[in-house]
Amino acid sequence: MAPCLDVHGLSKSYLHNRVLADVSLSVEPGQIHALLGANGSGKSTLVKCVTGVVSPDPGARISISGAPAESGYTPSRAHQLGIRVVHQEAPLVDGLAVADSVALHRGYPRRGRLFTSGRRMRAETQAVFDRLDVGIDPATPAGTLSAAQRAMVMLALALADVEAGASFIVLDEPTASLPASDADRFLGAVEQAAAQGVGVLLVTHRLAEVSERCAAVTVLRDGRVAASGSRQDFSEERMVAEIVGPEQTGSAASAEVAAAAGITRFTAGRTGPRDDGRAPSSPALVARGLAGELVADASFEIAPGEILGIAGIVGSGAGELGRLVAGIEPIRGGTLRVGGEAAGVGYGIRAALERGVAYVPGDRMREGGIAGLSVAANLALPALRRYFHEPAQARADFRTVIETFKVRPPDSRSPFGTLSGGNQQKVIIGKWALTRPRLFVLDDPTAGVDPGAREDIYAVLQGLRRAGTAILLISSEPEQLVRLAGRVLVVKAGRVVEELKGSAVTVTDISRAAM
Amino acid sequence: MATVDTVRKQREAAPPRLPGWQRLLERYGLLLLLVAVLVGFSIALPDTFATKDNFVTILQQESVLACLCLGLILPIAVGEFDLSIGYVVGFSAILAAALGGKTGIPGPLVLVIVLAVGLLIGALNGFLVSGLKVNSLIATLGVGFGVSALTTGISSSEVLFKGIPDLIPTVANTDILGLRTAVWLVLALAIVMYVVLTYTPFGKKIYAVGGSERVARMAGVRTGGIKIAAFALCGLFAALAGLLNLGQAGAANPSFGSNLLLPAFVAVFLGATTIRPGIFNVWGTIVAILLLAAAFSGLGLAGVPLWIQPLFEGVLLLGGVVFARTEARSLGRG
Repeated sequence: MAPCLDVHGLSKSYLHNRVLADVSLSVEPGQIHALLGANGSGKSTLVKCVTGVVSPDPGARISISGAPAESGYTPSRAHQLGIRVVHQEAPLVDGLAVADSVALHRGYPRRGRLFTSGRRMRAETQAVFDRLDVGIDPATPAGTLSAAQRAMVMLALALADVEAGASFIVLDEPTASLPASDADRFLGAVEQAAAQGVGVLLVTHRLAEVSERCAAVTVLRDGRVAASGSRQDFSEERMVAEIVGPEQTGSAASAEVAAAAGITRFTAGRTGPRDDGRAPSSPALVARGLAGELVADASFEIAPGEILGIAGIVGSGAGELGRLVAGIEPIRGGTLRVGGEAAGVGYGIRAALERGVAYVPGDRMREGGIAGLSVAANLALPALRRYFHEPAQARADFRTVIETFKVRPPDSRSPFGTLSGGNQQKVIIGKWALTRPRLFVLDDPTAGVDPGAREDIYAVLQGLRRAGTAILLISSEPEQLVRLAGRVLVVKAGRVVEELKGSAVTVTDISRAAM
Repeated sequence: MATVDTVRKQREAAPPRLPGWQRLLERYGLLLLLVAVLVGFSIALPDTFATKDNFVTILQQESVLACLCLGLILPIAVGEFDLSIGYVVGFSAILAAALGGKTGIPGPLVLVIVLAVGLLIGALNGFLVSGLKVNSLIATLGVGFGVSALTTGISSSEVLFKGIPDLIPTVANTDILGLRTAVWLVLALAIVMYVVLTYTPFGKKIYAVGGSERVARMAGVRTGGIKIAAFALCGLFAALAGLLNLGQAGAANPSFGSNLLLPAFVAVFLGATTIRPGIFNVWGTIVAILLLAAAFSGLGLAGVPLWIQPLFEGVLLLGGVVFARTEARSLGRG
């Protein structure tokens, strides 16, 4: 039987920039094939070539289930040949109900020849969701879904297509914004589809997924195939080594020290609410019986220089907890003291900022930064007035962020939207680090970030901690919490159900308590 | 694990950039076109187009539109529309003429009242949009209709020319170095707006709100206040444009003003394709106004039928915007 996808000698150049060089890759029916690589290694371009979005340089051979993709190969031709793609960003229309958005992709059920049937539309969507246990009401406006829910909708659609006869699915970092439990459920469904003979190309940054689910691995580095083979030949260590490449510089510890040194430079020579002479041992944040829409009776403290982890599946209230502390969602009960100052009536974003709370949102694309403005304009945003009076300080600060946080490309004039996800996240964290916050709240800061940039972000967080910042780290990845947090609260159905400390912080315990 | 610096440096240190000359063409294309139009018509029509009088006339005529555009940049840059500006231009001229002719209020006070009314109308737009969350097209259209009704009511649909305070023509028409004060005033305001938009926190907040209101709000920007200020200043500029027109024309015509709405939008959008491509900017807008005006004047003097002119305007607007989009796409950010 012909391979689902057979790529041979594929190269692609933009202007004079060679993005892919002589890439060959083959995905067999029934196989989940992992495509790995750092951001910028050419994964997305490869996916675009395979799905007909861009045409490769002459000389490449691509065939789909034995049918060669000739000139004039377009996304609709790819669709005809049985390829389905799940992108990182779900193409749902914010203003429409989920069912309408789904019908946009799958076709509108008709009533008679002229009219669409809203009832059948919702019923069909519900049926697709039910098969995969997606707990989303089809009548919900798509705009109100979380990033994780949007990803779940798209996965459900692709898998429904597989049942309808698609032969090959491309998953482009589908689990980037999903918590581990949901990611697991969906990959399980993907595995079932593969077992029925469908070929799957899985682009991912989560190496654990590869070890558990994939049969074959291809690693791209600098646009070339760095390594390729059966999964048995790839330990997680080897995958990382192949992604990163032979030239390595610096160690994690020295990166932390550099980040901490950079961050302390922001604090140099300025006065603000953080220099209030309070003893550094007093907690940065005290919550007592904190309540929001879902969160109820949450009590905890964070000390300066401590990373407190929050674990919880989507919809558990873990994300809401962060938004309550950051003043984005209204507090409905309990007390919150930041740096000894009580958060009273009218506690909102501005009040939180005044008390020194910085919030790095989970939805990076919509809430993190302004795509059309430069890195410098994004960095300056929370402190426009100060930088207006001290332009030299602004330039120095931006340079420090770019150097110590390793933002690539190292140019404050590049448009924020052209940066890779990991580098965008560094800029967003840098933007808040510049305001010398007392407390950093981060909601899944490494979702969709490649392993290299992830290490950089870990170093930045450790640097912040060393510089005395308190950190509330909400994460859907237990491994991350084990690595960074000294203490982890597990949130389930809006309540803190368990507190893990020190050696008790393990992946198994976090996962067990969160489920 | 070690970092992947070396690898990523190779990959990302050189982001896709257009070659230098293409970037220059993108930034200064419209300006070059303006120069080409000026030179071309000057060679073709040395006796009528290339005269000092013609250039002075163009600058004076366009000062009203330029004043209006300086205001309109603000709501557009925060991501909203203001359709009331044309009506406000007409209304402020009628209001000034009526106050002067019917009440005998002294000139300076008339000036202050009219400008304040413009500011308030703009603030009302801003309040409807950011306070009551009305879509800005609807809100400013509604306010525009109201203003237009007031214009008709006050003027009884007649041209007002009696008792216009002397101060107004003086402010608009005094000759300084061969150009009237209206031109100098608008030039000064353009410089002020350029500095405000480019260098001050207020200007940066304007662009931030336009880029993403959500991100700006989460960074502590009072996005509602910024929007109200943008609309209010736009109203102020529209009122000033009305006064300048009244000063130049010597009479207030109740039907004047709404015809400026579309040219103002054309100029602001076309302006965003040049000088600072992709960003609504002052000098790009000024270049666009001058380009359109010079071309109109040249075509008119060359005897080209009148209906060609809006066609030219449309082609230029679409061409400019499409050109800018193509450039953006080839950079991979379209």
